[in-house]
Amino acid sequence: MGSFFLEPFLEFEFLRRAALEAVILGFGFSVVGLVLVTRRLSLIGDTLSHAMLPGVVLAFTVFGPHLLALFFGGWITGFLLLVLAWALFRTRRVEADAALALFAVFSVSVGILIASRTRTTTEILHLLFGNILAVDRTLLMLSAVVAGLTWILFLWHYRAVFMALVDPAFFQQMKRPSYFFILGLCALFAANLTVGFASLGAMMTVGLLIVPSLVGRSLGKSPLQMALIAFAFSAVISVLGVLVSFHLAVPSGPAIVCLACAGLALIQVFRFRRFFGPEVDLS
Amino acid sequence: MTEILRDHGAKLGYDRRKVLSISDHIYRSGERWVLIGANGAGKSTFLRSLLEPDLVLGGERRLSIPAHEIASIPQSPRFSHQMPCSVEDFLIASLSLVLPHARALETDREEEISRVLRAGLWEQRMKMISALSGGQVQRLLLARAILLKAKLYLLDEPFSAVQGSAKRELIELLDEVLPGSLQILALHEAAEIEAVGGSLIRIQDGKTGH
Repeated sequence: MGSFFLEPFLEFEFLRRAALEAVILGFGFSVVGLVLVTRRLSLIGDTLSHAMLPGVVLAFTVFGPHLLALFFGGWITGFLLLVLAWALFRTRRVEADAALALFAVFSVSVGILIASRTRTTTEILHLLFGNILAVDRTLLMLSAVVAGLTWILFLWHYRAVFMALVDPAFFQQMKRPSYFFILGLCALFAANLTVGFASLGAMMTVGLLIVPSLVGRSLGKSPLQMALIAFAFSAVISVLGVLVSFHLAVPSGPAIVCLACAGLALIQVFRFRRFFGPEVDLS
Repeated sequence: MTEILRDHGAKLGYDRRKVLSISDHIYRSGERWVLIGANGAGKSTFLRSLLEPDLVLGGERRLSIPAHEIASIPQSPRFSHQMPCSVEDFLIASLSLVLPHARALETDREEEISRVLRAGLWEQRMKMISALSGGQVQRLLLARAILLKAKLYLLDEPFSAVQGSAKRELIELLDEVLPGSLQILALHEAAEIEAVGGSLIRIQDGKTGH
């Protein structure tokens, strides 16, 4: 047992960092995922990831392969995209997902055009596809700050977030949020996704974002419970996933996401049994 | 009684297409008005136009209260059933949006919340709102509307899925908050119109008449 669970972590610092990074990501993601899953925007992460290309390419051409520069490039692009999509959604002509998709495809094509005119290398792909085993101290700190800010904002405005998600029409009528608040929210969302991409990669970020939140939703009885359960689930899965990937010599991101999906499936099977069992409440 | 709504030659419609001409009138608090008319006559448009000023195409419509003093029950409420939320949490969170100091509120208003919940929602107070039936959702929304102590109530077929005995209790709750509020209801069932009382606004051929 000890040789499976402890020794790899004692021996290799990069494993400790990878597991820690995944746990920190899961902390921030538990809040972001809650919003995305309940607002039916689950695939927004995937959309945003591709849409960050122009910012990342530009940052790379100007500053070279500096992680911070690439992060800010991606973050600013993601932020602008969210704001534009929100503005279009507000006109009520287009649904939120369609608005996002529209700006995302535009952004990706701009990104590819810019990339074709500059000498791009694998460093950009590194940010888009990530490698959690290569996480460094800067990225760890950055992720911790982003996740911490996310939770502070969540707890501070808990009731408002709650109402905005349960009954959006009522929320809009009673408390029209200020533009400043919306911009802050977009910036925080984009930051969470960007640190995710930098360490886990685009596709796997969506996995760590959505799967724990689905677990939280099926077990939690309030948004706070939902977020806490999602975080606990993703923390356990992250550590296990890093271990499994080490022992089997497979990539960590997909290992984490596969484990998460298996965990979700297991929980649903147990819930199904209860659902079809004798304690069905027909009232 | 204080003036809440003043209509003067107001015209309502969607996308610049006129649907309804509103007769001139001044509505005051303490009054209850019931909109009647065939399906599609414009009852819901009348109610919606008080929350969505875009629907007022011409003329003058002056509302002397801000949006957060309006309690509205739409015909088909759209909650997110994706979010786990119990009936009690729903009410507490709704109220704390309107009134600051959420913590003080929980203790002060606890009694009032439980009183409103007794009108047919007591057994459901710990239930998730996604598990409520159509009638229970209507009762929940009405309970919230009453707790909000709004100045203007816009109720679009608020009892359509509620059973007889509970209907009476809900009407009693509405009676209690009537002195300080203007209540406008859209109803179509004769028995309901009689039970609710109030003055009638008939909507016919794109016009309202008192």
